[in-house]
Amino acid sequence: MNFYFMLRVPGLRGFVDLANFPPVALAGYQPTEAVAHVLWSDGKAWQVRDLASLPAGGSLRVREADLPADCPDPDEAGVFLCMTQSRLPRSLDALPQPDQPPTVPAWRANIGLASASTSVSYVGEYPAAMTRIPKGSLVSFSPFLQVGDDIDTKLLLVNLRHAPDQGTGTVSFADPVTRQVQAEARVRQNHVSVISLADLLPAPPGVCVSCSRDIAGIPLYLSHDPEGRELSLEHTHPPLEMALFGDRPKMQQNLKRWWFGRLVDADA
Amino acid sequence: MRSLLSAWLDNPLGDRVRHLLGHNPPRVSRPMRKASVVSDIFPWRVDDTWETRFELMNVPSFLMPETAGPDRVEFQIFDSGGRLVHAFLKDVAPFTRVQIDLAEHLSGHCGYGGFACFHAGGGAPGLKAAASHLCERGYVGFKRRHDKVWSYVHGNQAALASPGWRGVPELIHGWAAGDQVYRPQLSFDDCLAAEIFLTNPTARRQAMTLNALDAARNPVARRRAEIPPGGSILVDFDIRAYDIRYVECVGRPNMWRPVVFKHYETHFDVLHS
Repeated sequence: MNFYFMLRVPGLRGFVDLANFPPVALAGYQPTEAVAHVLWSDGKAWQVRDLASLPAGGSLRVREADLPADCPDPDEAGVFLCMTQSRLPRSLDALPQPDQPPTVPAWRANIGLASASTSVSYVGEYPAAMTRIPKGSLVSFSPFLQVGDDIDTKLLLVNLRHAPDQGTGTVSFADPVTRQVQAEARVRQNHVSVISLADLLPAPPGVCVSCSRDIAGIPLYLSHDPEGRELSLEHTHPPLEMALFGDRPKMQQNLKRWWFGRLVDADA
Repeated sequence: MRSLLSAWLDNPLGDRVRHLLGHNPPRVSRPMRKASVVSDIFPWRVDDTWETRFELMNVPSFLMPETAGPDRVEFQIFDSGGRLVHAFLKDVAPFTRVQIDLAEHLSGHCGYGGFACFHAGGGAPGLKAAASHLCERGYVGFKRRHDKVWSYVHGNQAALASPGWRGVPELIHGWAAGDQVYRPQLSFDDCLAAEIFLTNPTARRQAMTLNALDAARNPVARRRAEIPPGGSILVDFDIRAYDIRYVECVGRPNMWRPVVFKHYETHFDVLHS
């Protein structure tokens, strides 16, 4: 039901550990071999390449170096992965339907980055349901930006859409106390956009509000020293995780409307 | 009859009855009081090697910005047996965060355990209107004393509901009638050693089994323990000695997901599984 993504950050090497086993016992689930695919958008279609077979109950590490030779450079397109039980055509008009059954928690992969001396990872996914959001928006509150003292934090914004679009969106970074937008960055659809916050926010607020009116996605924050000897990677929760039970989507909708209406441009 | 029973039990008291009857028990029970606030139990580890800090945000102001005000947070720290080590209040201004260094609040305790944060404003109109409860699921940072960069993991297990300052929190995470298996979807064969951190988010003492498996999913090592309510355990595996590739957590708590520390020659990685 889900997709995964390769993080491609200059100076580091991305990897994804795909798991061909569910996180919990499922009634009627029959373990079967799966085919791992890599996908990218060329703007008109999804390009699909078979990578390898995964035995039932097994896992596979896909390294950046394992990507096919015709895979575009990191600046050109984002690279996504999925698993199905059968091979796929080399080109598709829309994302395929991965075969894994729905699970709680979601069927995920271990997604990470490595340098010569260290590595970092997190267990996550890009939910298939999120790929069908017509337009999307984003509000993310990050209290753990590490900038200064020779440490940089990069925002890695993952966006995946059902159609092979290559549009762009804008992410604003704001101080929630002053509500001033301190910086903006362009990000791309069907991509993992990499934005260095040390360049944009030399003195970030204690909690940084990252928001976009025109693109959805999963915000990951990568902190590292200049040599890549120490790495830290974590995503922020969607705002509705600050509430439990009840009409959480409604609360999130209200919250987004408020923040979108109150943030003011830096030069306003 | 079955649907009538389900409708009759669709309330916080019913959640507890469903647990007692074993009738479709919820993953997490709704707090008994509408104004209760909820917190995960977050892991801490502090000793000669490890430091832990928490990014304590004024969560009510971010969730309900139209009524933003100062937040008074009750911070509770537990030892590995689930016993309260220290409780204190911390004020957080609207739209800000305070960094809590756990070592400063442990009164000399070291080792590992759990902690929880209960925000003010549980009875806010926005929450009442949505029939929701404020929930702290924030970000814990770990680092070894010589590291510069903090490694963060977010909370992933709603566990405690508090009616307010000095009120006794209730463990609300559910459990099943029999053992369930949780399989973290990651492989361990790239590291030298791993530590599995589990808290017991339920109101009952829970037996836990951790199975370490090789690449063919054959069991190669096993650890068993009992964890008291609100307690925690840190289990280490020598990955290379046992050729371990996967780990399974077996126990009755719903979605019993551990925090994993993976240790390499030069570094560590911490992640929620």
